[in-house]
Amino acid sequence: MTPLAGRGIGIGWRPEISGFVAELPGLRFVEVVAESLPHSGEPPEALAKLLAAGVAVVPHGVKLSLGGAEPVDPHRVEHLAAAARAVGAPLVSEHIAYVRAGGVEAGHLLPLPRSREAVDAVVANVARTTAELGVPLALEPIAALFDWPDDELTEAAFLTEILERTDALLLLDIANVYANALNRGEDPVDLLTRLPLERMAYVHVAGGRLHEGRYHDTHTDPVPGEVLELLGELCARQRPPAVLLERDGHYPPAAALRAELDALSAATGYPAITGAPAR
Amino acid sequence: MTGGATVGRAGDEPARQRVPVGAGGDGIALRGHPVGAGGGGLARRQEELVRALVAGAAMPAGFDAAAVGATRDALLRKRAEEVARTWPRLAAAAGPGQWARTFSAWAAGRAPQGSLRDGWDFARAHPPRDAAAARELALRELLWAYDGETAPRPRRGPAARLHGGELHLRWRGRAHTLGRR
Repeated sequence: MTPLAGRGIGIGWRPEISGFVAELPGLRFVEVVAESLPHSGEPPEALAKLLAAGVAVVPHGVKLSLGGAEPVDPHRVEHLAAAARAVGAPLVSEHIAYVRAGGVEAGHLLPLPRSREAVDAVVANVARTTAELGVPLALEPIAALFDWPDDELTEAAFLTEILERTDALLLLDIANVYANALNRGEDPVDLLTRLPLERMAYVHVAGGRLHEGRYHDTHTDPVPGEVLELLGELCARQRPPAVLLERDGHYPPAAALRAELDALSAATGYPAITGAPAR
Repeated sequence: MTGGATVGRAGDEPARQRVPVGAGGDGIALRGHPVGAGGGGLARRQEELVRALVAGAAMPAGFDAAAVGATRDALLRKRAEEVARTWPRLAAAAGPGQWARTFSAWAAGRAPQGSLRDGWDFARAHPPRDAAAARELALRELLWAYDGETAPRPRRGPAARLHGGELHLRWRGRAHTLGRR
């Protein structure tokens, strides 16, 4: 059975909203930025309380650079594995992206060329990582404002080959699907029909905004209605085992966050975790 | 994707991140490719792109310059936000709504070193006249030794510094303040 089956709607745990998260009566899973967990292995007290209440915690790595041509840093892999053990994680997740090259940090997730060489690099780095992890790994395709001129494969072919060769699960970010399609002038549903949706471990939903004609996946703005509609389209094809709201700054009042969580419940048919009456 | 890395950069050691290009060859090869060695130029191409995005290098050929430029600007905005979280007084001292522009003007073309070092380098390049920002810097200087080149290290042992009419004490790795405020 897939690791997050039955977990429904979750939220990205961040220290700034830990009080809000602690008060969600129906919460069954959260994500935590893996690099924010201490090296000591002891989770922060607020997370420990959630764990004690039976909430699953998924470490979400953002700095492993699985798509780098350079091998992943063994210390970072070790930290991710320790984070997974510390929270008894059912799985961990990371991105199909690179974040550094030649000793230069990008400070964010950068897209890969959709080339055979990049597929090989990801596959090798995933192998190095999963060799140390005691739990499954889910891979998340990112949002990007540009593509490489080196592309040889379609996005669907690129992602499918990586998933098949690594045996990893898919963390599908529906807002990224929306963002990339909008910025490329494509139909987001088209990608959904070509991905191995049966490999979905869970789904990310986040907000963004248009800035100078491009859609930016900011995680600091409200979730657009179009993204919720696309989530509904996804569920009509294959409902993901679990769905998580990501917010990474400019935190709105609790009522607005609750409304976004309830909107995810409405779009997916999963029970509201906020205590709101079921629709 | 995650907006990422917005939480707790503590414990993340930038000094450890230097891996020579093409340093692959750790023995893992799949389907006959010397993975990590960058045989097809992936390592070089990735480095060229990241240097163009954050370190002021020329744009590699073939990319949509406007789209890559939009990414470069978005990375600067995100970096400014992260530094503001680590150095809130320094950012506030730039004036309402001014931090992102002020920081970005300085940071453009400088490779990111993490928000602690980025803010520290900015503060040393622009010694804060604002009292709260100067105090923020003084407390960091009290607790950490930073050579401007490598990751800051905790200072050992007790110490006392007079700053702005306050006595700042370092005792067992923590700062304590005596005096007016």
